[in-house]
Amino acid sequence: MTATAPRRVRAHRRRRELGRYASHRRGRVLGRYAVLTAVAVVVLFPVYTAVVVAMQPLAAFTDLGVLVPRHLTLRPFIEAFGNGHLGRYLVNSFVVSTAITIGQVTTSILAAYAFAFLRFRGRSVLFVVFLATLMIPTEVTIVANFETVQRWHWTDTYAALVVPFLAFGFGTFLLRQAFLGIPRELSDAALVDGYGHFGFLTKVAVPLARPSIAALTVFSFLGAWNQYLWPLLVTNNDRYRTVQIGLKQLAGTNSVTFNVVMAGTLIAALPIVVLLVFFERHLVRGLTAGAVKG
Amino acid sequence: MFERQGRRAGRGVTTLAAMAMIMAACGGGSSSAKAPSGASASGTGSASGGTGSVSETTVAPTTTALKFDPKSCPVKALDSAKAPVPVTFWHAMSEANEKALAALTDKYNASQQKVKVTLQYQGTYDETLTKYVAGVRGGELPTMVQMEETAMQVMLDSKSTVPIAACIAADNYDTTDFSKALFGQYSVGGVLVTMPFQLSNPVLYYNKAAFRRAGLDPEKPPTTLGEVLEASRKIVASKATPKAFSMQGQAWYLEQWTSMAGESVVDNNNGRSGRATKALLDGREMTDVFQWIESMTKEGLVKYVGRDEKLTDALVAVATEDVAMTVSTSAALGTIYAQLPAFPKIELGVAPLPGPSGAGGITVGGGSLYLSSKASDEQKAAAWDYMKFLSSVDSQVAWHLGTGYIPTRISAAGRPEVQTLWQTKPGFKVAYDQLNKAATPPGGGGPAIGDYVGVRNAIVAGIEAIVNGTPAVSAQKQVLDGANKAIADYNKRIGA
Repeated sequence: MTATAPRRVRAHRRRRELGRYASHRRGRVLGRYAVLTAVAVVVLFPVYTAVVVAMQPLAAFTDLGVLVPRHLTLRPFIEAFGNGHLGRYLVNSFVVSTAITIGQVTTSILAAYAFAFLRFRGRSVLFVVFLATLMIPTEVTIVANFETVQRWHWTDTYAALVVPFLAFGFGTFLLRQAFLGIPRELSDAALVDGYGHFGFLTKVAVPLARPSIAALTVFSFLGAWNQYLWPLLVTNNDRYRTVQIGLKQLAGTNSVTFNVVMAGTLIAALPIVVLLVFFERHLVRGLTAGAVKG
Repeated sequence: MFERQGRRAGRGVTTLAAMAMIMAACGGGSSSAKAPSGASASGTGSASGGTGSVSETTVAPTTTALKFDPKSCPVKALDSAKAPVPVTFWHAMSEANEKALAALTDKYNASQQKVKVTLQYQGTYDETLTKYVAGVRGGELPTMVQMEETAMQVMLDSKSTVPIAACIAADNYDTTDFSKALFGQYSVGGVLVTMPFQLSNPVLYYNKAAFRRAGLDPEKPPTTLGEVLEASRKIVASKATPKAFSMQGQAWYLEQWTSMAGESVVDNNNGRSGRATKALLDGREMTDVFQWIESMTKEGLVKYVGRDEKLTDALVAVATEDVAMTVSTSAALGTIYAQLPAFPKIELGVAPLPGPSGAGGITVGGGSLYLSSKASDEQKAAAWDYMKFLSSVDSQVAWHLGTGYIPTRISAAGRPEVQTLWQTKPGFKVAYDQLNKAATPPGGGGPAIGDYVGVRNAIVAGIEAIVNGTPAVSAQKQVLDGANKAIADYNKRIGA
């Protein structure tokens, strides 16, 4: 493009280039959507399968026709609810998971605050010890914990289901990282304003670390909700059993009632899905928070 | 629908945890591991004295007989009970099996006032074992517990159970109507350890239509492994089905073939006249079995379905006409018959398990009921009463119809409802006959091994090695080494 070209020509060329750019961009966007759609189909297909399998009578399970359902029924859901004692078990799971989540978030906030803002002897050693607990698989401690709980006669109590999980090394780690992201100046300013540790924690630190706390909430709840072996060990009575045990009771070896099992699984997964949708925005932000210092 | 979890080879953490606890409980000589109360002099003599049938089927010498005292099972204690005696029963039955068990238990509870049985589901057999063994170390134990047949040695080593032979002797309980094979399977040193309850054994499932297409006589299924190989070649050559035989990575069948060949899986009469110290999977017949697996896979006759822990893939391969035959547990029969109408092209045939020729016989799969020695006298008597109810011909018929497990009682076969079932679904009769007509395997039953899972893992690793092209000879060596290590490790850990 030369400076001598008439203004109209220049403007025309410019428009054409812009147009080319726009169509190029449109193409890129279309391509991107095509890829995303394909991925979405792959990701959603198991969910679709679960739903259609859960809503058909057993007789439909002879060929792939089951994936294109002709008549849907809710009977498997009703059966799952009855056979797996899911009603009572869902309530228990909810109570236990909520208690564990509240406990873990509270203890994690307090411990993380100490590691992030307090200076005391042996702080880094203690923190490494905290992290080390993350490396110990549950299977190693489960027997010892079980014996302790039995000795305390906690079998068939909510305490046995909740207490062993009230502290959580990962939660402390996650929130410490979030707290470290809070500028030093803010805590100084809070001090100047007359806040003590507790005031700073509740008025400044926690609100700023909200995404991480939300992520921890979901994470804790999910972990508690999906527990199987521990609740199975420490309960005998249906009054205290949780939903995952009910699911296991629905499924036998050589099982034919795929639809009931799938319906039970969907029922058990629903609260988690609701929670995830509710916290989704925070969850993604929270897990990467503190990954890169900004 | 039907539990056959005993056939799993790859076990997870729960088993490990159970093992670890057993080691601790036994190795430490802890005070909680006591022999049944008053474990005094009476040996097998008094066991058979009461009933005349306990030692008939066992070939074990009595020198190392488990000592037991009929007094350890105070069967009369219930007579003086005032209030209903609570019996807790830990079981591993889910789905249809759980319903059948609950129906029987409700019936029992309603039939009398003295005993109230509470069923407590404890997950898989593995999980039940984990929890039980943890309870042995000073925690809570149920009055009685259901285990699979492979758990017997671990349960013995936990030293927390009353040998059922004591109850039989104390109660003068007549066991002549029980399948003979059961007493071999569940006795050590000639003493019945546990009450047989849920029985199954492996059978051949085949598609008669595919046999016909291959020019084979559908009414003459193969009876030996050699015949399976012959038939497989014809099936694949005629393209009746793409492959001939679906094979699971499961040790159970190899154990069965060992017993059928008249050979032992482990020494000391399959661990029944003394603790097993080494594996014996190197007999001539077993070499043939390993060679057979090699031929079947090398010639492309096998569809290998992996460990197939839910025991469905091998059967599904028959249903979808990928193969023409497979071997699997008889406990799947109920499910199979329920699903059969959905596969109109399949003409199901069920036949006894083909195996190596030999003097031995098939062993009993499934599981049994253990009575806790820590329960009160009244509870022991109550649990025994309930066990007798579960073992009655009426209960066993209901159990058979409801679950597909083979009845423990011989005379169950004479019942009209059983006859009707067998006429429409002859596979059940095949499994029943196979169990009751079988010759006695070495030691009287399948192997009694502490680390049964470890031995099974070694066997499965061998099968997998052959499937992946390792020569049978070196795979067999590998199996033997692995099994010996598992046995030695267990014995060392419990200080035996």
